[in-house]
Formats: sequence, structure tokens, C-alpha cells
Amino acid sequence: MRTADLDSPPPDVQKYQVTPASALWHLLLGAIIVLFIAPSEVKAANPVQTSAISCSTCASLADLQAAASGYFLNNYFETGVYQIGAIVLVSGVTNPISAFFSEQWGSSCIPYFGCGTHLVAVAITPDNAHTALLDNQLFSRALGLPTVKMPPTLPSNETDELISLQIQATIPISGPLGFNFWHGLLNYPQFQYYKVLDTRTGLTTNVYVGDSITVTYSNGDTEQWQFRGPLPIATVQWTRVPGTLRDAAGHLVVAVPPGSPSAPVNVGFVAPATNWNITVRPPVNFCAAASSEICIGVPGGNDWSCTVAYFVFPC
Amino acid sequence: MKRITTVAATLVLVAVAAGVTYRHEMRRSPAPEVKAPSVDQPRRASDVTLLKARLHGSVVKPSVGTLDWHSEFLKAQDYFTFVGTAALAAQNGDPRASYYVGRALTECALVKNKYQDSPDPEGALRDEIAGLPKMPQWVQDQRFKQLHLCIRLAKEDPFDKLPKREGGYWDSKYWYNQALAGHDPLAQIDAAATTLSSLSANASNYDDINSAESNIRSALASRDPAALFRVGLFLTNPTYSADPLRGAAMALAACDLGYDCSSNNPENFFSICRESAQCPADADLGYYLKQSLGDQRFAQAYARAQQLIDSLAQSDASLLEPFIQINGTIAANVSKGNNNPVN
Repeated sequence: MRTADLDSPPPDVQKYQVTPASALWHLLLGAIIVLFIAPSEVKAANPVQTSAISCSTCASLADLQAAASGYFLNNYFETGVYQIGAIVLVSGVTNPISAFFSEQWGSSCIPYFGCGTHLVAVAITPDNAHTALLDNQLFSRALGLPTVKMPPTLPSNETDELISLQIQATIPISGPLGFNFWHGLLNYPQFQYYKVLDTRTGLTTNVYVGDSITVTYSNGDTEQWQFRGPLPIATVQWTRVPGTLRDAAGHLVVAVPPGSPSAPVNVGFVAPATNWNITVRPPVNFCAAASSEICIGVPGGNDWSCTVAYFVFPC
Repeated sequence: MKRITTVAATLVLVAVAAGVTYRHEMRRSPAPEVKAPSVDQPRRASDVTLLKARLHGSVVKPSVGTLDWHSEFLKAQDYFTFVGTAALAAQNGDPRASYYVGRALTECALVKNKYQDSPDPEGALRDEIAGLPKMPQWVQDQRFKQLHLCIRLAKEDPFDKLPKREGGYWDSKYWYNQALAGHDPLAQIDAAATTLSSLSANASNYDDINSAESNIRSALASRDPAALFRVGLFLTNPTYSADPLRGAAMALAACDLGYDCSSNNPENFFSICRESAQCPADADLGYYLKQSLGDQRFAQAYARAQQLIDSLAQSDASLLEPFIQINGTIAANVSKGNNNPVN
């Protein structure tokens, strides 16, 4: 398993473009593979190869998918090895989106190669809504903000309203981000983000709606709180993430209610019958992992119906 | 006598001509040729008057009471006095008063929590700020302003004239619920927003969405510009709206119907720009929308705002329905007709 360090410079998606000269050579190689190895006969190795890349220009699931396809193709061109069922996590750099993709055979049209059967990236993360959700769960980009400490008068069982007000007093919104607050209004996905001022450091940070921060209570308990912005209700901008309360030793204090945002998000998808997992370490002290669970073969076919779970935890 | 007849005839002709012009104006196609107002200049008062007139003279005063509680809330120098007055009105059946009692309690909740037992709240706040040397001056000013607004409310009981009630009156939720029970449009929008923002893309529930739509429907039918503005901004989020431009149109319609969409209105989130200097101080909603959408899209949003105003004027609920439906990504997983999310 490979683990990507997201602190390192993001690979440029342009890297995956091929030149006409190299294309001719790989076209021949690719044709041999496509002609002589039927896709259905390909068995994915176990454990499955997993990797994580980032994409500086991605703004939608389609962009992430293009980057993933490019990654699979490029990997094959460079090594001559392909691995059906390999998993890649692609994360946007400027936009808070991430998605998992599986390496598969599929019909596609590729510059210089034309249309036909190629290695393609099949999205495991089902739609644009999930790209933002997954990204926040994996990276919690607002976690770049130091934990917000509550005074002793505000224990964890205090009302959401009061704790939210204390967070707002510590990191108040200082404005919409530049002129493009509604950037992407007409092109999904749209990301609403604000500048917040950290009154402890005097620095401003961009926080996306849906981002989470860590709150530390005076007894050492911690809990995740999610930013929902001032648009729904001006007075309560943060809401607690159910099931994320941990004691000072890091143990969960309450069981995770099913269906809550912090619970593993189950996404139905079709993938090879291979268990896999991937762990990424974002540039803050927070870990994320994803794994396949409960893969069940679909009768009469080569496909498997799997459930993906991904988790976020302090590390 | 003849002169009087001539003058009367002239007046009738002028009135008919004005009427024809006005009707022509109303029937003008709302499509792209509708010219959006310049966002560099505030809308002229006469324009607002005309648009209000299109509601058949029925621009709604949302409150059943005699006071404009929104203005009173913004003008208040001391929330203790404000809450004392508004709470009595609320008990007499004014839901908007009830809503703003809730707002004042929310605004002051932190001050009450921190300083209600402090013998020297100002000194305590000064000490707190001294421990945060990087806190900008505008935030410090904001803290002191809030302390002054709230400290009396934190230390004294403004509800002593109300009948005793189990649980008391200090919980803002009580007042929001009272406002909701009285069909206050702002409370309805808050309730809809709370319901929707607590849903996740994986756990949408048709009953919740239906309830939110019902609240939005009632709020829209009230023609309350403040409620229209708030729900419009909320529906710019594609999580709730498959067509976020309609949210922009609703907010613009609210501006035309008299809601103060400028940064002078502290209820608008971008009013913070006047203090933080991190965004243009005098920019209004139109400015941000135009910057984000570009001229052509902004004109489209504006045209749809005019359609909405016309629909509101016609009191035909079916015309408003496209502006109400929650049909963004959050609704994608919901199978209407049952409560089971589609996996």
C-alpha cells in the first residue's frame, strides 16, 4: 500500500498526457493487452494496490475522474503493469472534494488512442454531493485551526447554541471570501466559504461550509463541531457532530448513532471482490482511512457488490 | 362649468395613460431584455414604491402588533428593556415580538453565561482581551458593544411581569417555538433551515423535507421581505436547490420589496465587512451577486425576481411552487411517497 503525503507538491494532472511518439508505442502495447487478455479474465491481485493523489485543477467529480484515469494510464505506461481493481483516492487542492476510483476496463475515448476499451477510472464515490462530504471527512481542512477551548462554564453537555456562540467569539466570520462568494453558483459543486478570524492568532483562515473543527472542553474531552455558515440561521453557525465526543484519553464517550455524519458513510457500489484499505495522513494530526467491507458477488456475473466505509479519527 | 369638465377630462386621460403605461410595464416580458439595476447605485425609492404597488398595495406588515420589532431590535441600546417590552407583546399574541425575544436571548446567551455573576463584567472582559493580544480592534469593539447591550439582561429578570411558568422564560427555544406556533415567517424559515441543515446527504427523510417545504410555503405566502431574503440565500445552496439561481432571484426580489439588502443592515452577514475591512465596506447583495454571476446571469436572476414578485401579487400558490421545492442533492436520495432513503 502506498500512502500519499498531501504536504508534498500535488502531481500535475497534465503529467498524464501522452505525446504522439509515446502514444504509438503504447498503442501497440495496449492493443496487445486488449486483444489477448480478455478483461473478464483479469484477476485483481490481493492486496489491491492503493494510492492517493491530489489534483490542483479539479472542481468536480468528472475532473477527479479524469485525473484518476490519467493516473491509471500513466502508471501503466511507465511500468507496463496494470491492476484491475486498484484504488486511487483523488483529492482537490483548491476545491474541497475527494473521490475514490477503481481501475477497470471500460469504453472511453483517449487522445491519440481513439475510442475503444481502455483502462478507466470508475467512481466509487457516487456523486458530487459525496465528493464534498468525503473530503471533509477525510481531511477536515478547517482543522488547520487550533482547537477551540471552552471555559469551565461551558461543558460538553451545554446547549449547541451556547457552545456555537463561544466558537463564534473565538473564530468569528470576518467576511465572505473576496468577490466570489457565490463562485460556482451555477456550476455544481458550489462551495460556500468564509474568512474566519482566529482571535488568538490574529490570522484569517478560509472555512468551507461543512468543515469541522475540534473543540476541547475544560475537562479534556474533545468533540468535532461542523461549520454551517451564517445563511441558515445567523446566530448559530456551528453544530456538533454527533458521536464525536471523546474523553481526554481519546476514547469515544458515546456510541456513534447510525446515520450520523461521523458514522462510517456506507456507499453502495460495484467493485471487484477484493478487500482493500487506504490510509491518508492529512497535514494535521488527523487520520482518515477507508476500506471495503462486505463484498458480495453478484450472481451470474463478475461484478461484486461492496460497501465502502471510510473513517476519520485523531491520530 | 365647461372649464371644470375640461380639467376633469384631462385628468381622466392622464390617469388612463398612466394606467396603460403601468399595465404595459407589468406585462413586459420578464426575459433577458429586463434591465437589471446598476449595483453601483442603490435602487431609487420610487422604484421600490412601484414594485410594492405591484403587490396590489398589500405589502405585508408581518407583525400583527403595532411595533416593527425588527427595527426596535436593531435600535435597542439595552436588550433588557427591549425584551421586557417585546415579551409582553409576545404574550399578547404578537409572534414577531416572540421571535425577537428569542433573538435577543440568543445574542446575549454568552454574556449571561460568562458575566452574570461577575461583580465587574467590563474588567473581566478587559482581562480576557488582554490575554488575546492579537485580537483586532474591531473585534474588541464588538465585544464591548455586545456586553453593553446584554449585561443588564444577564443580571436582571425582564420576565418578572409575566405569569410564572415551569421552566421559566430564559430558553430562546421557547420564544422561537411561540413564534412558530403563531406562524411568524422568520420563525418558519429558521425552522425549515434547521430541519434541512441537520439532514445529511445520506439520511434524507421525506417527512423532514416536506415539513421544511411547508414552512417555506407559508413564509413565502406571507410576502414578508425579510423571510424571502433569508430563504433565498439559503436556497442558493445546491444541497437544497437543483437550481440555485432561484435562491438568488428570491433574495433580489426581497430587496425590491423593501428589505434592506445593504451592508448597513446588521442582519446581513456581509455587514461585517464594514468593520473587518476584509471585503468592500459598502457592497450590497447585488454587488456580490453581480460579481459572482456576471452581467448576463445577474440579469437572468433579476428577471426571475420580477417573475416572483408578479407571482406573489397574483396570490396563486401554484405559481410559487417552483420557488419552494427542496430538490437539491439532499432530496436526490429520497423516494417521495415513503420515508425510506434510497440506497
